[in-house]
Amino acid sequence: MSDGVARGAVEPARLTWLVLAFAVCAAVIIARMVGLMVLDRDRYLAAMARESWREGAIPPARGRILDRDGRPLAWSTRRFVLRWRVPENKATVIRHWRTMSEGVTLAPQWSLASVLARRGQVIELSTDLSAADLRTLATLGEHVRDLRVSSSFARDRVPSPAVRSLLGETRAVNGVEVGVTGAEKVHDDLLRGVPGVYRVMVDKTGDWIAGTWQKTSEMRPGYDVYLPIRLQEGNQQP
Amino acid sequence: MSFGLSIPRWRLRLGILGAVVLVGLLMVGAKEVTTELRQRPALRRETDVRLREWSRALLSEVSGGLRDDWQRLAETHPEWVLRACARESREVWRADE
Repeated sequence: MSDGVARGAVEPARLTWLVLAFAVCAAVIIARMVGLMVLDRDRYLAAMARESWREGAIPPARGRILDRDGRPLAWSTRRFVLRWRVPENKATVIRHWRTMSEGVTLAPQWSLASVLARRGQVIELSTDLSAADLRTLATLGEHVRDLRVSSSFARDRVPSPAVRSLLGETRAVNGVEVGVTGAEKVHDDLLRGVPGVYRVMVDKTGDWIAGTWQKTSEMRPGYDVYLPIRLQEGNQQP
Repeated sequence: MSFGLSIPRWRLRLGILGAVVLVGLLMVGAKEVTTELRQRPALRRETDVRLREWSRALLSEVSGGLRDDWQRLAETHPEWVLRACARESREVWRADE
């Protein structure tokens, strides 16, 4: 073997250049990784969280108003409302209308003609959906666009005008029933309840990402309030 | 035996040390990922249970909501029920989790 390079071996100078080139590339990659994963970590995490997390608040059921014997004078029931932004395109409206009217019980005032006259507008197709309707709508959303099911409360009262006058009225503010007159207003703090809050990560289409849902605040329905009156027979709820 | 390389011993040791540190870091990172993957199914099951509980509670506020047809909806579409009952979601800004 000579003093120089052994037969078949890489020349030291060339090897040195190769190692140097590899070292430079590795240094660039590692520097970029450190920048992304260490120096800019908080910034990217914040940006991702801002875009991905959504928070939802669920309004609670308003408490009941009862007479001194515990018979309900006013009570709230949850109901589901169906709204639809009617498409501008006539053929799309006809196609979607046929799909919906076959599977969902819609309010009687709506027909294809009346819906076609409201193109581009948001209409309320039903104000009290049944469980079967909801089950159909849960899958229908993929086929009919711009359908929205939302929940609201209906405040029912006993028929007696005198008692109704005493109870007062409520009004929905951001989905929450608020007492505006009478006993509903006086005891509003007790009757109103506390909304439940959750947060969930969504993907780019707005769908929930499985396993990310978290309840952040427990919902508390409103307290029941007793009034010092006695409901007369014949004025009770049906 | 010579391979035609003339790397000083100290560089060789430094290179080996660097490789050992790198492998160690990779193993730590892999352990964290594996732990997270193992915990994820249990977290999902727990989340599903809570979703269904809340969904059942919301549907019980419907007139006749304790009937089987309503409660079955809570079992099959709990997320959908919650989204229908929720107010418009808003963005939540979180700096870190």
